[in-house]
Amino acid sequence: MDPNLIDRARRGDKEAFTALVLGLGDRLYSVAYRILRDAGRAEDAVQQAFLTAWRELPRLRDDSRLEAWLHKLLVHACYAEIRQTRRWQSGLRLVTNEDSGPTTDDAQLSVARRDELERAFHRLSGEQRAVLVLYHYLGFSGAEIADVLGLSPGTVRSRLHHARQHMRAAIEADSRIATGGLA
Amino acid sequence: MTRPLDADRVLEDWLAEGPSRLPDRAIDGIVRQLQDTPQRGSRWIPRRDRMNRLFLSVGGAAAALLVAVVGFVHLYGGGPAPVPGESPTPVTIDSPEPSPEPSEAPEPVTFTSERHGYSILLPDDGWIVIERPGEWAPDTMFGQESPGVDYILAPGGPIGDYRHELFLNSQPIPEESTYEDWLADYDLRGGRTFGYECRLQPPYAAGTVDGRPVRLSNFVCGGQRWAEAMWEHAGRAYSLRFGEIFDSPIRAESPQAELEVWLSRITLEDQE
Repeated sequence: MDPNLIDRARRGDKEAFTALVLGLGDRLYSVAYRILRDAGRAEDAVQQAFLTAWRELPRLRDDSRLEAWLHKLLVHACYAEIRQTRRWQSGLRLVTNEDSGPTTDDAQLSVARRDELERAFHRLSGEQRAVLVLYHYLGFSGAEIADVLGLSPGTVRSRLHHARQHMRAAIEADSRIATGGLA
Repeated sequence: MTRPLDADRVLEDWLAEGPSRLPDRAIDGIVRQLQDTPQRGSRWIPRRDRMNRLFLSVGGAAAALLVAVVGFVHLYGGGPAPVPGESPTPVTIDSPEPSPEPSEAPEPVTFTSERHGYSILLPDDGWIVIERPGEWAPDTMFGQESPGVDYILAPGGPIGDYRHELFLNSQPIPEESTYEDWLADYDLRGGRTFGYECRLQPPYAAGTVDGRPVRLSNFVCGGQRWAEAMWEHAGRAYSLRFGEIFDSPIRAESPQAELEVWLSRITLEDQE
C-alpha cells in the first residue's frame, strides 16, 4: 500500500482513506464473509473495521503494519457480529449464496457436503473460525496468524487443530454417507 | 479405486466459494460515516501515568474486598434488555492502540469515555469498545444495545482466559432528587422491567471505584450470570455490568470478583 496514501489518510484526508478502502475492501470483505457466512453481517464487520481504522490511524506507528492491523480489527468486528447473532437469535441464519458459485471445475461440492460443512462451521467459535479462514483461505502461516491476532503460536496451533478436526469430521461423515457408509 | 479423501482440499474449495467483492453500498456507507467520525488525537493516557493509576486503583480494590458487607435481598432485575431479532445499531468501534511490533508483549491500553467521564484500563489491544450513540433516557432501563451504552467486548479477562463482556451507562441525577432516591427508583424500574426473569442472587455487597463507594449485586438472566456495580459521581448515576458470554466454554468463578477487578481498572474523571 502506498505510504503516501497512508500518511495523507493519517492526517485526516478522507479521499486518501477512501482510496485505502477501495484498495483493501474486497480482501477484507472476502475474509469477513468466510468467517461470518453472511453477506450482510460481513458488510457490517468491514464497515466497523474501516471506521475504527479511520479513528485510530493517527496512532499507527508503522505503516507496513496497516494490513495486519486491519485484519485484526476485522476479525474482532466479526467476533462482535457473531456474539450479537448468537445472543439474539435462537437458530442459525439462512446463508444466502446469491453471489457465490464454485470456483474450480474439478471440485464441485455436493449440496449435502456444503450443508454439512456449513453446519459444522457454524458450530465453531468465532476464534476458531478466524484461525481457520486465515490459514486455509488467506494462506497465512501459524506465525503470521499469531502476529495478526496477537495470540501465542501455541494458541493458534490449538485453535487450528480443533477447528480442522471438527471440519474434517464433518467432511468424513459426509463422505461416508455418499459411499453408503462404506468409507 | 477410490482416491483418499483430501479434507484440506475440500475445506479450501468450500472456503473459496462465496463473494469476494465489497458491495458499493458498503463503500458508500463507510465514506458517509467518515464525515461524522473524528480521528482520535492522543487521548490515551501516557503509559507511566496509566500504570500509576492502575497501581493506585488496584490497592483500592483490595481494600474493597476486605470491607464487603452483606446487604439485603431485594427483588431486582437490572439485567440486559435484549430485543430478539433486533438489528445491530450502527456503531463506532473504539479500538485500542494499533499493534506496534510483532514481538512486543501485549501492552495495556486505556479507553477514555468523555461523555461518561471515566477511563478504563484494558489488558491489551485486542479489545473493542462500541459506543452506542445517544443518551440513557430517564426512567428507562438499558441493555447492551441501548442508547448511551459503552459496550466492551473481551477476548479474554484480566484474571482468566475466557470471554465476557462489560457494559456501562450513566445518566444525570435530577436536581430535585438524591442518588439514594434515584437508586431506589432504578431498582423498582428493574423489577418492573424484568421481574422474575432475572433472578437476584443476594445479598448486595459494597465495593469501591476510584475511591468512591459502589453497590454490588449479582443476578442470573436466562442462565447467564451477571454482576452489576452502581455508583454516583459528579452528579451522575452509573451502572457497570459484567456478564458471561452464553457460549463461552469457560465460566468465571465469580462474576462479582471479576467485576471488582474491573472496577479497580476504572478512573473517574472530574467533569466540572
